[in-house]
Amino acid sequence: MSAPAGVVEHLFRHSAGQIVATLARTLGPARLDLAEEALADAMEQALRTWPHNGVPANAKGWLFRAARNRALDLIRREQTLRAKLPLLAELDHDAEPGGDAELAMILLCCHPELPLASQVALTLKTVGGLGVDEIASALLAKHATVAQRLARAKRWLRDAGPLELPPADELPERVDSVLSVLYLLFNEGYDATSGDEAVRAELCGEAIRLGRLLLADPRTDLPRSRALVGLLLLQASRLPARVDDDGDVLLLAEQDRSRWDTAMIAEGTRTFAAACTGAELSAYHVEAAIALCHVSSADPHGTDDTDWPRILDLYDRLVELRPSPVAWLNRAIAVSMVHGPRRGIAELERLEDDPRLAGYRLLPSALAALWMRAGEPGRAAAYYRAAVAMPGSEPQRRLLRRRLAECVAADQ
Amino acid sequence: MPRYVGFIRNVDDSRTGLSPGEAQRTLEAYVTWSDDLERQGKLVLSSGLSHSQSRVVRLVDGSLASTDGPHTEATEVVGGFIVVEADDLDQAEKLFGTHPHLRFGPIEVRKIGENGCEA
Repeated sequence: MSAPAGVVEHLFRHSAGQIVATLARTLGPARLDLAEEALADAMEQALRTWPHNGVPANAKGWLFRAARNRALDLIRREQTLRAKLPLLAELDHDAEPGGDAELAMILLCCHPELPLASQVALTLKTVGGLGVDEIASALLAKHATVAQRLARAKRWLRDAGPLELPPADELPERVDSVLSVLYLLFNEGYDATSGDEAVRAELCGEAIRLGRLLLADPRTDLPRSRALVGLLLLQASRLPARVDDDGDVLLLAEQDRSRWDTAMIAEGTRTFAAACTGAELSAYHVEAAIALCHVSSADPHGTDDTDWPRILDLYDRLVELRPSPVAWLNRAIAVSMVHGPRRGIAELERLEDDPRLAGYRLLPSALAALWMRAGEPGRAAAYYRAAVAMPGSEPQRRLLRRRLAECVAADQ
Repeated sequence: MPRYVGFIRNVDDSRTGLSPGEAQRTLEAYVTWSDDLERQGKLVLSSGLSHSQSRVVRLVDGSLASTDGPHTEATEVVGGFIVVEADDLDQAEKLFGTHPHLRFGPIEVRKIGENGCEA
């Protein structure tokens, strides 16, 4: 295809080499990276304006001027950096790197101006020490997507100002942003829909470690921070029991409770108790209370003594505080435990049209489990079939297929 | 004929990091789209919006406050707008649906009110 009228053929490609070479000749070949970045920014600027305002008569000259101006900006930025040299030299080489800086870094990585997905990637890369490949595997994203997200986030960081804790009046909101990222991070690891299990377990551990950092500083040690860390600890305590020796996923009722991490339960319980000292009630508080109900059912091989009425009560609070479809789904399961499977089914069926739950495997599998309990294996099988067709990890599919086979056998 | 404006929204700076070849193809696709529409007599106006020369003015507690830049808290910044003529919203959506920008970010299509304000 030839270029449309007004667009010089191969303009960018032919100008690119000349512009980069001219800048690099002036700056020295060691700064080829800077020359290339300046050109990339100039091209971006061209793409933003030319389609509307027309391609300028001397397009190559325009591009060159834009690239040169951009290079000037970049170098000025470096000069600002050079002024910091004495400070760098002053850093005591015996001193330990401080948790203070790390805390400020977490708050910056989780800045609400960044898209949530970038906050997560940047946190993992910068304070979590994970590589791009590991992040991609943990978040089920493509390597290129993560790399691009990080590059954009780092461009944003360049203009983000000093790395210090935000002023006290902004702090609660900024802590909220960190808590959302840690919550997401943990769930990415916990739900393990696929991907490298080891990396995903690390996500859970990292979320807890970063949460503890928040608790270590009085300025970020808010009741809701404690509630989240308590919640994560209580959830993580069950991680070792979540799969059997073949790597198959086990439901709560099937888990060997002797494999739950009692030390973690104790710490989670303590942390949660410490979260409940004030008047504050966050969704994390309620979720932690629910998790506590689950881990404190005494019978090692059943859920019979689980306090379902209390759990339902807590879910009622949760859907008030955070009315997410997943919260409603979990509440419906609690309804079924208190009022019988058919009441639970009625609640779940109301969620079937929610577009946010389209493709969410746990909805049909919950419906299937309840129909099975209601004594209708045929209807249960239909829902298990739908659930198997949705995305999920191989162990999770095996669990669903096992359930499906049970329904089919019961339906004969 | 009714007019529709398409706000070209850039998701972050999703167009940075294009190779010169990709930048060339992108530019050509943008210009070809506008040329085609102009030939059909449907293009009314097209304009980019500056990023650096922008300020937000607002009243804070009754006094005027101004901040630099577009809404920095938004991850999608409006980088330009295009006004087209179309029979109805569906046709306008179809026109903008072929715009090469969609690779990089969304386009918000809005009808321009004809008789004062329309809902």
